[in-house]
Amino acid sequence: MLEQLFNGLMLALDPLSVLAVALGVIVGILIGAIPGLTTTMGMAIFVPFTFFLPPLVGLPFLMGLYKGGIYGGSIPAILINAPGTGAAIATVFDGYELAKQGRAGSALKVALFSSCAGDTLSDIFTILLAQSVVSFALLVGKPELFSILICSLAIIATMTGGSVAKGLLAASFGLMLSTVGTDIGGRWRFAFGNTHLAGGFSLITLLIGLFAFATIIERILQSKTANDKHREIMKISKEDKLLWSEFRKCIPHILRSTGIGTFIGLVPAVGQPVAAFLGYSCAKRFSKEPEKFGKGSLEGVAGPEACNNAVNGPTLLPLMAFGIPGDMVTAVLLGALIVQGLRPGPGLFRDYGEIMYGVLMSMMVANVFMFIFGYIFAGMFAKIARINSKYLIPAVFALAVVGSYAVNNSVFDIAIMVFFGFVGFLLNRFDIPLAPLVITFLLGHNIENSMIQSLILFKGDPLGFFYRPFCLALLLFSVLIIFVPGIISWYKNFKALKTEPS
Amino acid sequence: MKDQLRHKIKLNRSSAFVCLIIGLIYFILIYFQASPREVPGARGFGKLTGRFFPQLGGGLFLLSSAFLLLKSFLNEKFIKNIDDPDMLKSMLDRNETVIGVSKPEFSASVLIMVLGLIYVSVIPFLGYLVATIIAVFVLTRVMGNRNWFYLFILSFIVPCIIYYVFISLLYVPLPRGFLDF
Repeated sequence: MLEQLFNGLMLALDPLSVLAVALGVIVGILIGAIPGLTTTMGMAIFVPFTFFLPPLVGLPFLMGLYKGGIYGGSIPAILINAPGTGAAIATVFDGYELAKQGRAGSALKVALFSSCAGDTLSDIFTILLAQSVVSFALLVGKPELFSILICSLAIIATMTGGSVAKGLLAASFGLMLSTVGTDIGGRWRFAFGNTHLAGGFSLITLLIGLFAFATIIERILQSKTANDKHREIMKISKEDKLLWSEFRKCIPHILRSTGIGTFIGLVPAVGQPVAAFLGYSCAKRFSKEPEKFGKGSLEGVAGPEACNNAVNGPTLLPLMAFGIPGDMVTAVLLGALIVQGLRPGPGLFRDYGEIMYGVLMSMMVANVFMFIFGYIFAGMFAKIARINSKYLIPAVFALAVVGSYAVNNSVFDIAIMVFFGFVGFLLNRFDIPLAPLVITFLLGHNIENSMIQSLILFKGDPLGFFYRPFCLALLLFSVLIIFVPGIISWYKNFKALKTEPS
Repeated sequence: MKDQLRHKIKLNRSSAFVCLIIGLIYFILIYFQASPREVPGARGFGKLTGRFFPQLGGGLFLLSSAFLLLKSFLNEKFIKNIDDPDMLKSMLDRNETVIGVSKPEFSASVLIMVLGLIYVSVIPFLGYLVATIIAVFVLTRVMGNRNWFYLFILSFIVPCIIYYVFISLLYVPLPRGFLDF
């Protein structure tokens, strides 16, 4: 392992790889800083660019974009009271209040230091833990893999924040989409005689459609209905200085939030927004001045920023070891890995250990660049946050089209992208979550294959899953996680009805 | 607050109904588009064919849609009998992001999709560059940009840069039209 680690570090420090990371971080911060553009959309659009680059140029670029995007969302959160990404939701509470008090610069610095610290510490944990997770993954057989996939789907469908039923609806829609192409016997399924559909829908085309083109449709409609509100942007004052005595109080929160975020990153579907809220709540709970939270507390910026960035590294572990993406961003990364010929799973580190450690090490390089660019160019990024995304939407369109085309060199894929853009727009408007749809679509083939191979192993007895304690525990947990919240909610409603005076 | 909630519940109901129709169509299509041949060596509850997994996915989709539909009726009945503002507010907060689509918005989005498909169909004739310059120009004007400088930069320069990057730097062939670029 040490040899692979060292070789990976050397690969990550290759000049081309370092340049790719730096570029990725800049692009990511820019995308995160502009409200209306999301990190997922940015990654979906730029993934096709990486197809034609070596793995240790393309993947570090995406890592840089990922990291930069998560941090970049804090810039408009502090300056405009509008989080650039979902991860920065909790940063708004105190960040904007600080900006109103003329302390935007200090808030941005605390956000930057907390993000870098949380990210770096969790990346170290990820790199050290990678081999153990992979060793565990190598012990996993097909029935266990099937159970893990079902459990992950259950978690993803139920914990995306909205209704459990809508999460299941989205997940099953993803399963339906994954059946397009060929079945396990190699026969066409739902191809309607069209050779373009015989290979199924391309993940990248689906992502670009659901995120980029759906955003384009939404923005066009907003421009027509004048819902495009102009927001006031706070300035960074030159007199504002961050004192060491102030930052010292944030350090315990950074360390605590890093621990929380690292744990959350290991669980699929929970993601940065939940981590941000948890980081904020914990910071408030353990602060010596909790009454300042919500009124402009630097600790209220440090907690959520450290927590949401600490999720970034560990979330790659289930992805690399089992091929299970924990959120939409890692779903995009999964697509990028597959296109580079690096199929995630237990064999990934065994067969491509140096490359994978190189990718993990490039995360650390990304943190360095995030710190440098965030510190030096904070003022410039703040100006970028003023850009109305309607000026960028036409450029996003041009990139989305070429990105969809580049996947298979097929114009048909652009049509698929347009269609899924329309579908994504409708799903967003009716609050049907996209994360379960995308992740289930990705995992659909794996689920089908592992299920059928397990049944072959059990000689056709589906009860074989229940004779294995690990499978039984995961499958039971999946059932509980789906039904228990609904039962509790119905019981509460029933009690409320009973106690309501007639 | 009750009116707002009723509106949100109606939106959920209509989306559930549409999903139910889609699920039924998908289920019917399984018998025409999926092979009934058994997967060799695989048995479960009877034979496992190429239809089993779509039936699983489609069945789950139908069940979820049916449940959402039922839930919308039950929620409507529930809010009739509840006056507690905290309870109503928590229900409203849970459904806050259900915006729905008005008829003009739906028509506009369908039109955008159709125009997008028209753009896709002309790419093989005009080529990526020319077709995209026209499309981006139209899109920029539709988004409300009247500044000729921005129009020029966005419509002409951006597609050219993208074209150059993909053709000359990444060596990805993009569709060429009758003008051969």
